Amino acid sequence: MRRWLNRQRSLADVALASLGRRRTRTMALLVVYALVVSVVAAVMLYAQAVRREAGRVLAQSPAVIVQRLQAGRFALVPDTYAEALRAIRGVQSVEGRLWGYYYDPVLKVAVTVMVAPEGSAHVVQDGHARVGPAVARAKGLSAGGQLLLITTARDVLRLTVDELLPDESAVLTADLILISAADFRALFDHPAGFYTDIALSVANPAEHRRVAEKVTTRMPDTRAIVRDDIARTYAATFSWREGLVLVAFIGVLAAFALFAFDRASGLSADETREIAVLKAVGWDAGDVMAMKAWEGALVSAVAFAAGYLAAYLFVFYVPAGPFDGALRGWTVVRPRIRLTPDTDAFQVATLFVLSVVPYTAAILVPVWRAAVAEPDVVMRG
Amino acid sequence: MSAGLAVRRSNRVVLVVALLAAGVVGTWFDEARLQRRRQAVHDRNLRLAGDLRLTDVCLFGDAPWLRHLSQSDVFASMQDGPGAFDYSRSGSLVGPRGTVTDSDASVAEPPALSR
Repeated sequence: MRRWLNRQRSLADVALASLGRRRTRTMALLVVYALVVSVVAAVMLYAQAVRREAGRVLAQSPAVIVQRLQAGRFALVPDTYAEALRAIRGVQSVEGRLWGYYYDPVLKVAVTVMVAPEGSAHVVQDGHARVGPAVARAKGLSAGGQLLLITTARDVLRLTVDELLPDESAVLTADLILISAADFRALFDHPAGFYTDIALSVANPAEHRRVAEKVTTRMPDTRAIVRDDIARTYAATFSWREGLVLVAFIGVLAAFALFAFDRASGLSADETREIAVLKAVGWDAGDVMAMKAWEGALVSAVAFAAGYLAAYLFVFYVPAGPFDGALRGWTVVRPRIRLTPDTDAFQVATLFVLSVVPYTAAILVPVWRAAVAEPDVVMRG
Repeated sequence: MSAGLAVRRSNRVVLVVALLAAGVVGTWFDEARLQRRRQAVHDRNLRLAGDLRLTDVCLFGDAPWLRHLSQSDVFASMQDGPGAFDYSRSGSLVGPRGTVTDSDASVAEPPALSR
């Protein structure tokens, strides 16, 4: 074993000396290689973290949301529907939700206005509001301040800000304004006895879809959204985005692959002469190939490790990098989200294999051709 | 043997490779550390989403259907990305509905006509 290790170290020494003779080329290759790995790794780490974040915080979403459609458009749901929904077996509780979009003419953005359900820890008194962190920042609000909203009748609704929703909840509440039901109805001229939609709680998760089917069968003008659909929507969205960003990057990937392949598979005159000299001093083809395999493995492994590390630091320690916009999208009231890493070992392993194996393998074919030829023929060119 | 070869090249490179490998392995420990540290925040956010009956995360809000992606009107115009770039930039990055809700059989079927 010790002998084998010593032999490998000697081979690595020769490989490194060979790389050292072409220092500028090797460094240029390493930098570009690491950069390409870091971009792919950053997209992968970012998408995975956002996907997991969305899945994690929405695990307690309502089991089923029932919306009403009329002439192909959303319509308010009358409270009589709530009674009918309560009669469906498996439904534990039925709650009407009041929420909508308020277009803020100053910020020029639609924010979400919502009424906290009865019994919630966030119920707001009439004339008061709780405001999400990004809205508060954009409008310069603080606890005790005045929030002015324009009603659909063009009146001013003055609300006292009770408290700001915490920054740490920005992923859910960045653009949220919580107000009372009476203020909500006054703001949007929302008729009494109607809700935006209805949230059902169903005790048995296995019955969510069955209950949704019963809802749409009994009330053909409704649409039911199951909690699983919500999770799937976000998983699909970020997989799509990850793919799209990588597709946009495919030209660069192809250019690099071509460059690396050309660099790895075509031996320069110096390299060919070097192999011939090694053969002439007694190396066999196996030794030469092992030495060159070391060369390829060292370059690609160092590029992978450096690229992956850079991507990790960039995604989780540098706020709002360029992928933030490409993957997360745009909005005026932008939440400040600190992503928690949640790497997928399989993805990392795939990236490692794709980074190291093709380059190392591409090196070996021309080396084998040069190594099996007679040294004097190779040296004479 | 020259003095330069006393420190073998491979020793130095092994050190660099070991440091980089330790860095990659270190990201797993860092991940576990960050997850532990932010667990309390995640728990609070989970409770908040349940308490307010929230259905969507607030990531992009340049159009209402993007703010509440899971609740959006499946047949609203200009939401079949990637062609929607002119209308809402985030929309260009959201997949066509076909891929998002393949399993969503919940769109109301028109009631059968009675004979």
